[in-house]
Amino acid sequence: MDLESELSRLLRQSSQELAAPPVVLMVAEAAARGRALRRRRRLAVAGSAVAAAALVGTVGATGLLRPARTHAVAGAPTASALTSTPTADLAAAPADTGPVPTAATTADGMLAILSGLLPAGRYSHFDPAGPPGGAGGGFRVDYADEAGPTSIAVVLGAAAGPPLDCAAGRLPPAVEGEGGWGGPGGSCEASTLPDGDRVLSYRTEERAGSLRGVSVASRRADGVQVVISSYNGTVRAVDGRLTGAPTRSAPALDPARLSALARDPQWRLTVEQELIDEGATWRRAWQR
Amino acid sequence: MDDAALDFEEFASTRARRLFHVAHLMCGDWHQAQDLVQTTLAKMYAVWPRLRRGQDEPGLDAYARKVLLRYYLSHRRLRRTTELVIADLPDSPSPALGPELRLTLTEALRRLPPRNRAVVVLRYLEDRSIEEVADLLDLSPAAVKSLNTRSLAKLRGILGEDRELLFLV
Repeated sequence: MDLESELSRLLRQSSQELAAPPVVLMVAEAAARGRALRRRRRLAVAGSAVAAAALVGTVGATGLLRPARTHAVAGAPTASALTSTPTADLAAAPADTGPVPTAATTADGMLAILSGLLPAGRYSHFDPAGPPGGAGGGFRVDYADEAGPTSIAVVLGAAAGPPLDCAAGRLPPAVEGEGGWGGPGGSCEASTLPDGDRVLSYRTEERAGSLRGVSVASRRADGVQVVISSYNGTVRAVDGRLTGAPTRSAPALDPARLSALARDPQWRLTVEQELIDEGATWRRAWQR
Repeated sequence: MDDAALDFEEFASTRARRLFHVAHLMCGDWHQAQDLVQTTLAKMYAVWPRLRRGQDEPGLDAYARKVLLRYYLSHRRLRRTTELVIADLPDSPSPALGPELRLTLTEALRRLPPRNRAVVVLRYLEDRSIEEVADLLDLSPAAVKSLNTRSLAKLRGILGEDRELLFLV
């Protein structure tokens, strides 16, 4: 029997034997990544536009952090052009019009932002645990890259209290249980960046086989404070203390990566409602 | 959720499984296939309102495959320098029946170069014509014909005598 005449049947049969893919989860993940991609393009377009305007002295530097909801991209290819010459490096998003509903950033909104900033991975064990005292919102989630799952915690709020300083001896308000990380043997660095952002980085003591964490707190010039922590295993808060077991030798994200994440302008105290909805939909998909 | 998001969700939900099958036959890995499809759909989501305005349903399906193929082929190019071959397949694999059919065919496909594999999947899983495959891969029809002929010859060689057993399944 000829291979060519049977190949269609064989390939179909082979596909039918595959385990069913998690379509709901895949679509939710794709939408989350698609939104993040669109946001990054908007920010890039806004940044380029503001930078160009700043060159002629018409716009202040603070506009660099402001995402554009409406813009027109000169020279963007039309959909019909894409029909004949598609590209995986797609063009910028189309212009949106009308007012955009916004709301105070919730843990779901923060999750959507984080997932857009990290490489693709698998998420689980979402815990919307804010810091004590209601100083902003926060969550902890397990994020699995190729090396396995580790916990990441994020707290977002308005800057308050004393300046970020290693001499203070502890981190600013973090997710429940993380206040206890400031023990002896750790290392702390704090600096003020040229744009006015203050960044503090804290690492717990490095001991072989023990649970370790790295936290970076960023206090931006616009008054937004973000604290992101990464661990070398999955952690849970029990009676106000973190417990867990290491799954790798070092935290998944190093201080430089955490610093870049914490300083990202997408962290805002209010965000588009659709972002919050997206985070909630996506989270529910993988919590099923 | 706005209309565009709902519209995208409907499109993606009805296409994801098929795209996954295409992706899996091309890359041979369940998780990588999932990532290929998610990336493809994410890229479409980012420009969805504009795509939706300018494309009918077949146009959107073709667009999805183009993005998938482009990403798969570029991804393969990036990986090629870092991949390690941990085992080579024998020229005549053991008889394939039942559940082993998928493994045998998948492994046979994996021995083809990525572009040849894409041609075989588009031609024989998707029943695309030579012209359609040429359009999807940005190749000439003659080039697709040549790739197709060479791919079939290679598959015949890989599957060897066990081809007859495959046909009985």
